[in-house]
Amino acid sequence: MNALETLLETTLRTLPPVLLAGMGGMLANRIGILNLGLEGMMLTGSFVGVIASYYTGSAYGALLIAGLASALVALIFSLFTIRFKANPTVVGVAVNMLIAGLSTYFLSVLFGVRGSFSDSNIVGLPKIALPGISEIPVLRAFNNQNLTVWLALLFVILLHYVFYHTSLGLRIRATGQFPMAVTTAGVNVKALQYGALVFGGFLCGLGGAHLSLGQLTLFTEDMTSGRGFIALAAAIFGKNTPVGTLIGALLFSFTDGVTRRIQTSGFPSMLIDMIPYIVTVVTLWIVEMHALSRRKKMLTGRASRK
Amino acid sequence: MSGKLKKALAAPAKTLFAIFVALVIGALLVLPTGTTPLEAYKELWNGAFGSKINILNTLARSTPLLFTGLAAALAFRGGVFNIGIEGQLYIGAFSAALIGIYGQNLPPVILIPLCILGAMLGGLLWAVIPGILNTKYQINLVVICTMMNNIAELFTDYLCGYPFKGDIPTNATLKLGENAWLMRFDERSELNIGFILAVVCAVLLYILMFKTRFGYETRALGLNRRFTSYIGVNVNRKILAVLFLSGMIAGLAGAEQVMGVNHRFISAFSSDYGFTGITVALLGGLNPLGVVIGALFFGALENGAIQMEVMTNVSRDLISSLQAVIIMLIAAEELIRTRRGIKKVKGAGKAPSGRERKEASAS
Amino acid sequence: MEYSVELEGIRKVYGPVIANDDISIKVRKGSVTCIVGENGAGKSTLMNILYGLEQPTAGTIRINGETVRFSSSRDAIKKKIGMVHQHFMLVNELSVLENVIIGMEPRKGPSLNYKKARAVVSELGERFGMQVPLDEKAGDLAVGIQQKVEILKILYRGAEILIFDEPTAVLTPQETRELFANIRTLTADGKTVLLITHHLDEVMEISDDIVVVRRGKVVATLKKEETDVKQLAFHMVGSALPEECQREEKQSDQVVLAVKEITVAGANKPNAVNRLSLEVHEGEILGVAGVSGNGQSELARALAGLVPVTSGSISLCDRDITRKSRRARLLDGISYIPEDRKTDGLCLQWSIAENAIAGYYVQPAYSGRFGFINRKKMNETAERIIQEYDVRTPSAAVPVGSLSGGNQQKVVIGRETVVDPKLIIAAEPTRGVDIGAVSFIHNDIIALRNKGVSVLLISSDLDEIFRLSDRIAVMYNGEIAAIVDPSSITREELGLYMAGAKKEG
Repeated sequence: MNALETLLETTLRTLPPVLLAGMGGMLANRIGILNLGLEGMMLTGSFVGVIASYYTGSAYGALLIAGLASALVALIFSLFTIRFKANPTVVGVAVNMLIAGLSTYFLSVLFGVRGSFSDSNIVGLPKIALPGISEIPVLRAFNNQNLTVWLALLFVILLHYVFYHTSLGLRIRATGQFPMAVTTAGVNVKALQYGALVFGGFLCGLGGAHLSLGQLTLFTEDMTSGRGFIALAAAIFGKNTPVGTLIGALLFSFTDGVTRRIQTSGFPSMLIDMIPYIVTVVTLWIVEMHALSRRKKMLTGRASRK
Repeated sequence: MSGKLKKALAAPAKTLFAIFVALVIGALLVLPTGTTPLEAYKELWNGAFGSKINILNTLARSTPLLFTGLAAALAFRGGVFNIGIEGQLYIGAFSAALIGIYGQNLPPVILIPLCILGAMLGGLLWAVIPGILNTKYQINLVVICTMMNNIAELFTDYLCGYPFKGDIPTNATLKLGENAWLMRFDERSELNIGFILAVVCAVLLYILMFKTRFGYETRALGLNRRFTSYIGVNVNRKILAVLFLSGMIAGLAGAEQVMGVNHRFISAFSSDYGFTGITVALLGGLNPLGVVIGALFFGALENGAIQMEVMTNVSRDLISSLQAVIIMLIAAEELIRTRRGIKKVKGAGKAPSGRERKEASAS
Repeated sequence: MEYSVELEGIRKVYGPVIANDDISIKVRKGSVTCIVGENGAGKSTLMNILYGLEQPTAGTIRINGETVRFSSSRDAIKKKIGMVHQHFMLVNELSVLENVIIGMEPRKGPSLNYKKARAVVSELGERFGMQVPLDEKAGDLAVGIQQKVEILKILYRGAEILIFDEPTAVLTPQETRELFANIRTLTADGKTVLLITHHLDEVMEISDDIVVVRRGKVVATLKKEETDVKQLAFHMVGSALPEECQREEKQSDQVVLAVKEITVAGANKPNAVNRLSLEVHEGEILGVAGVSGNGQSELARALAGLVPVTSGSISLCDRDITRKSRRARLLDGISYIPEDRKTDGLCLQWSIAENAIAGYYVQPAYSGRFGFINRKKMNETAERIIQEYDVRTPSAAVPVGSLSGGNQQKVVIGRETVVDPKLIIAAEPTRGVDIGAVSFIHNDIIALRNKGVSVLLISSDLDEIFRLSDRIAVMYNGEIAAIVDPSSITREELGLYMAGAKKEG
């Protein structure tokens, strides 16, 4: 494989957490509730994935359990924000704290370790070999990727279809704009909101499990390290569309891939570790600056419409 | 019960309920460890208040939380979700450390205020980028602040690991000159004069928030931004002012740790003081005087947890989970049916009009 | 007699407030029944109950003789009830077609069948004479068309019983006539219409049966033929209206506010106010009439200093204030009564006292050295407003959000007038307040005018415009379509200017 293909391969390998959580964030934005708990939901997936894999010995089983566990956390988030009318920002921050605390706590309760946990009993996600593809240039980067990579891409297509070609999608798009209009049209908006948030949580869980069972086979404290927020940035970058979120996520995981390459060059590692966060800030900045100047142009441009 | 009394009691009652629920959840979490919850909580209590030194340490532990709690209370009152306190604290701490190291020949009366000022400026500096991106481009403050927190921790880790590396193996700077140290009350405890400073800050902030124009505008900002611009306040400028002041207070938290506790900047020294500060602020009802109580409570919990961990096999990580539970329960408006704020006053329609009352008093 | 809707003993209680008290109404199939009553009388609550948005505390609802219980609007829709809300329930960014079908989308397999939807909706439009552009975004349409979309939306859901909540509030007189024609088409088709309004002329024009509601109770059930506007008004208010304050004849040529060719950007429009000029003289009420959404809000906000003008100039008593901040203008004597008191004019969680100094807290009387707020002065001002403006409240310490709409508005108006302003910008000063408060506020505005204060009155209520204005400026599409003398123009003519069908030379 040449350098470009290796980079593409790394990008794909690091794509699922940001892409899956990004779609979770996008769904939440679409139904009008900002989900800042993506980070915690993803961490749930990482943690539960490792535990489930350790006890069941089944990687795919663990993946599913991880998704469900995160969905449960998302359900708690939704209960507080929708049912109990708590401020979503505060609940999001609290969910992140809760999971960070619980995961380290249970690490010590279950295994008596602090900080990180790895064990040969943890079964990682298998890599899927595609016969014949290894001969095709560029495309061979898709060889030997985890199921989660394919799932993530599949969900992009699925959500795109749902958004623009089904009644459910129409309702979701309308809810974010004007929920009362959807309610009075006889749609159960709250159910829609719960559904979108919980499904988004499920996606976060898959992304988190990819981190601890696909990219690595271990759990460390705070291993998501801000990816939940980067995922939200990807959704914002993609204007809350599935394909846009994919592009945003690709951008961020590409950065991640490049950083990993520099990592080995003997440069102080902290400076390199900063890059993804800086890129996120700068990207959001550019995206919103662009949006602002377009809005301004629209408003100050010569009024042609009478 | 009169409406006013009911309202005055509702908020603390809710807070106590949240704490109670958190302790019950905590007890359930303790069960699988084999320790009985009662035993764990007993050690927690003894660790916090069992001896004079323990009490002093509880106060010491409360000090940074008091600062970060004030920083959060001010910001959240203004509806400015400054999640970047952790990062502002690091930059503030590092600024104080640099001044303390390079200015060590200055007399304390100059050096200490200089270090404190430096820390405040450092905290402010780290709030500038989130502030501008938020007010000018409407980028979500929480997202940017989270990024800034990660960057601050890594960047200070680099600074004290490479260019400013000190004389110990871990990533840390040199020791500050003794002239920059904050006075301690007892050599066995890290409690220092910073605690008094924090309490003074709380009182000042209380006055600022409830007695002055600045506070009037800040409270308006937190409740209704359209109203705030209606009354003639430049909303964006106000958001920046609140955020910057919050960042400066966060910087103070860092200064206290560097000048009073560690006497050097140690990489990643903060055990989530910034985030705990948010809990403290919510627990204190976003009222600076309430924050004092909240900070003491969490200082006791965290200090007590150290002994709990040693004496039983319950990890002190339990505490941070409980914090999160408390935040969520306090934030849940409708969980407990104490309807705050807007409710029709009983018999408002039948209330005497201004004129009638005037006539009654005139006769 | 066949009844479509029978409400029996409907009661709705919110905490200590009784919104509906033992209301019983029978609506004949194929008729138009008007529910009249002033703001806060409980009409909207009643209709929300019928549409399943709220649940009654007690009472029964029968639809076509069958007792029903609605837990949400979905249940009401199933029983063929539809509602056109006062504030349209349209998603601006979606197409008209999508807005009509949402919630009942035709499907083909898992996908949404747009082709079938289009066919059904355009057929429906033809049948009831309400053609609308299906592919345009709902937000881009004129208000009258948006209302048709709303009606189509409920017809699409198969509604046989249609509820209209204040449907004419946003229409020109001509559009109102067209709406009434549409309503007649519907009843000719056998549909039943319930219409909420407080415009009594319209009631006499469109209704078959009339139900008057006051303080949550039905006070009269009448046939149109048996009553008149005067009797209805008496039932509605429960007493004769207070005397009107007389306008003193006084004309001054002194220009207080001069606006020259200003352009103001709106939310999605670069020229929500388009090169507009006007003048307000000393002691004059200039009424700005128009269908809401034609730039009035932007004009008011620009004059108050809340949004900048992109071009043009504003001057107050010959001093240029174009670049002055909101605060500077307010201290210069421009008072502003905003159209939405709940979001702009008041901080609902705060006490009356804290709201009484909103904006003016920067004056030396209230904030002294080091920026401390003088609470004593603040409370004095609050007490003064409560007394002079007859605010009904137990004390000045009560959260302003707990007061009724009329009393909240009195707090705003009191605050904006006790400061002796030169100019008052009053945007929809009586929106959502009860009749007693309306005449109080009207009298107050006239008294201010008599004292020499200039008033720019922005209102979409033509009654208010005619009653108060010395001159009327009609606003259409961000411009002044005409400036007219209220004594020499009819409502219909005014309506033509409002609809943009006519423009002054």
